[in-house]
Amino acid sequence: MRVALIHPPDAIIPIVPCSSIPVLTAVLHAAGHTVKAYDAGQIVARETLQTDKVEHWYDLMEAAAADLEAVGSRDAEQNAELRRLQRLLAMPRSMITELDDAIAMMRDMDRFSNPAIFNRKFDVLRACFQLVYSLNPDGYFNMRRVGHDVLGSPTPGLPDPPMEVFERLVDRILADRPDIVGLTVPFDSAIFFALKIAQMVKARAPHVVVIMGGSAIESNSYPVMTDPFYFTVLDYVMIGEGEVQFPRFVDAIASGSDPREVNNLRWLAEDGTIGKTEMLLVTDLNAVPAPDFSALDYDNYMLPNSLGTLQTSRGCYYGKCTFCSELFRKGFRIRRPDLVVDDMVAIYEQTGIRHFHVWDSLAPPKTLKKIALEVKARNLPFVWMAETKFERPYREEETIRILAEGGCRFLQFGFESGSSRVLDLIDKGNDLDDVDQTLAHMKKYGIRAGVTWFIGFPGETEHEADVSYDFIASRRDRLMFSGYARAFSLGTDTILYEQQERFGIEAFMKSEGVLDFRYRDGTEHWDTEERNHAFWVRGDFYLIMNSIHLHYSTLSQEAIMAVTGQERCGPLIRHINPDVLERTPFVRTPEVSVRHFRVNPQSAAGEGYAIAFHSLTGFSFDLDADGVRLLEVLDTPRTYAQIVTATGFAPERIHRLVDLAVNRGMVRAIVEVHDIHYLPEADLAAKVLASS
Amino acid sequence: MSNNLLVLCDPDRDQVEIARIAARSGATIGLVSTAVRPQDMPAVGCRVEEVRDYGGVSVQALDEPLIAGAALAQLSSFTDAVIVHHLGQWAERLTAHHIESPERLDLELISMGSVMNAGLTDVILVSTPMEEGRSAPLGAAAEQLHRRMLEILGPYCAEVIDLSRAAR
Repeated sequence: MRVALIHPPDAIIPIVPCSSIPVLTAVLHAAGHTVKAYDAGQIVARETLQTDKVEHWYDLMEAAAADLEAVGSRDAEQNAELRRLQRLLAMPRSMITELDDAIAMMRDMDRFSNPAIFNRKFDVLRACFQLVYSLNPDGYFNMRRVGHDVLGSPTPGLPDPPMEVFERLVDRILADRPDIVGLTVPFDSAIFFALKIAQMVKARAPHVVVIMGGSAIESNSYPVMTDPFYFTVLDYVMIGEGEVQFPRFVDAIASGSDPREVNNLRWLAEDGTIGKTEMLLVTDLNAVPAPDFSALDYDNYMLPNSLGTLQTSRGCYYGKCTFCSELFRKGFRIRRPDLVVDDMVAIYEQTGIRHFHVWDSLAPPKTLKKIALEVKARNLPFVWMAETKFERPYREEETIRILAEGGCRFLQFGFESGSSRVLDLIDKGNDLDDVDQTLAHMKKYGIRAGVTWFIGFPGETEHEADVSYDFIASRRDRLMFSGYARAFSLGTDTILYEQQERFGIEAFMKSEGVLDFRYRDGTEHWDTEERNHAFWVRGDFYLIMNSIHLHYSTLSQEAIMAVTGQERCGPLIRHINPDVLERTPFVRTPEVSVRHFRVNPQSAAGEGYAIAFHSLTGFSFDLDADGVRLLEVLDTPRTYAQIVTATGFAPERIHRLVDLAVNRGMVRAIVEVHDIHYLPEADLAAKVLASS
Repeated sequence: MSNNLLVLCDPDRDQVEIARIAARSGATIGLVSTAVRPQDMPAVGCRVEEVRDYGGVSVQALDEPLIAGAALAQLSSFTDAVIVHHLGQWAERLTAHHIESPERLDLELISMGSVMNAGLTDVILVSTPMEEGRSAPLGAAAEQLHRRMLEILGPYCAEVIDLSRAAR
């Protein structure tokens, strides 16, 4: 059988291939089937991220905005569209002229490793990427359509570049006459695009079997497993893992037998209900062949050193975190570490890749240790990173030394919070005392560390959220990247959701596909918005998501710090020694640009206004006249008093504006390191370690 | 490769001998205890190991009545051997908890077998024998699961040590 495997875009710049395509390619090849793989995200990037194209689209937006501005009395819909366009147009057109060079930089190790170049070019790349996926009102980064609306008629007007690429891609795929089109959705964001592609395939070739599967298949936004509607564009949905059942499904189609006898399947039965078979997970991960990357075109991924992705286990060996999806909490299984190293060798021999991302939910420390020992024993030239958790074995210097000698260069820890109380609420099992000891060993042996964390877990106070930030910010000599993952969002398949009473919360549907919670005593949770801005702009989650960490982990501490959000945006006001605050100068950050618009679609008076665009985050913020004036005067560093003199505003107003601008990374304080102070609670673990 | 063992015994009575067997693998011994009831787990809280006495030996213990394979993987990272105490009780906990989703039962056995097969540490599975009239007084479903545990996990063990037979 001819199988077309498609990995839809997942709203992340295509820098490394997701592991599902190589894994499925391997099992299909082993079963004697022909595979053609399409990383649609990579194809969209290749065909759209070009200076001339993006400039053209920008100009179309400009013209569309001008047309709307000229309308005498705009209706609500026109005002909304004008506002949407203005926010996109706040990104300076001049950035786009650098796009081709930015893509070239991503494959040039010297320039990629130069933080001054990297910061600017990577901002350009991400800003253009965001624009491509936002041009049309239906674009992913606009309020993406959820539920049935995803398959509704497209909004006319501005082009939708990814959809245009999909049209051509689907033609190309169908020209190869596949028997089966398989859509793999490892992240929730990919389902949006997968459904669009499925719709195009079915419109052109109703006879081709379309099946969707992947770890994100249990989606709140698009309940494809349970809602018959989605079977208008899908023939089958495969739940669970595909290594065993997907080849069986293809075999069944090939032999003309009934595929509905294969496990893990969902389909639309004749009576309109969802037919299903029992879900079986892969019982023996050791029996699965090594991932096969032969169907992917590595030359088009944007990294100077290509990165191979592979897994050593399925599920999470800890399985207790109350915020985590059940998908990860059940059925932990493991592949023998020596076989994992065999996989790395097979990938190396097939592609020349020697950089690896061990992409587990949570890799057991012993597995990593055994991989390191094996890599060293076989004298393999591999460099690798893994995702893990602060655990007792990492307190042992010997463990860290073995990992370093076996090629490990980066460990990313699920940290979640710097508050022991919140960690207990999460049932995380992290001991904060472990953190400093582990980080000290890692620094000694040259393994860089990153952490992922979030705020807003039920029961967490605002102060505890600040402690988390400070805990990490005060350890940046040992913590390479701070993966702030935004404010907490509640999932339905979590312990927290199942045991709402235990946590004193009540879940409710805020909007379609979006859950929120309130406390059972009637109080609302605190508003995470401003902290979210402050921590996101100072965090490095986008660097982690885009697999920048393994490459940067080999550079100097100075180079690493220079690409971090914390370094680029500086401290928060509360971190500055009060004794020096009044004489601290502030300056506008180079990442911020301001664009003025003649018409304010939100104001009946119709006066002009301005929008600030932040190239590090891609966020845009409305500015009133005072905000604009503040940013103007801070082209030159000024203290509070000097800003008051330059603007004529009241001191209280200046303090409020500067606080907000610093919080959002638009203005930074110029302050000596010794005048930056963190909350004493954040330093607690370090003190415990010192005293012991 | 690791040296996994299945010890058939009276789990409460024979702990000294079980500990002695585990000590052959090395000085650092882990214990996955299935004793705590699932509904009491929120009170137990995070799965952080604690030092306990087991048959006169200090062991690094985790309470885990359900996802014992995952707990085994966690302890494997710093131990020479891990005692899983004990299969009959684990079967009871699993069948009682997953009464509406029996597919989860096999999943947990697969998980345990997968970790045993990965060779991360020596695993000592503790179980009552299943011979007629000698098994622990489990319910029918738990007894059936216990039997399946021995069928599925037994092949991952290099040796079966029957202390109950020795005692007779």
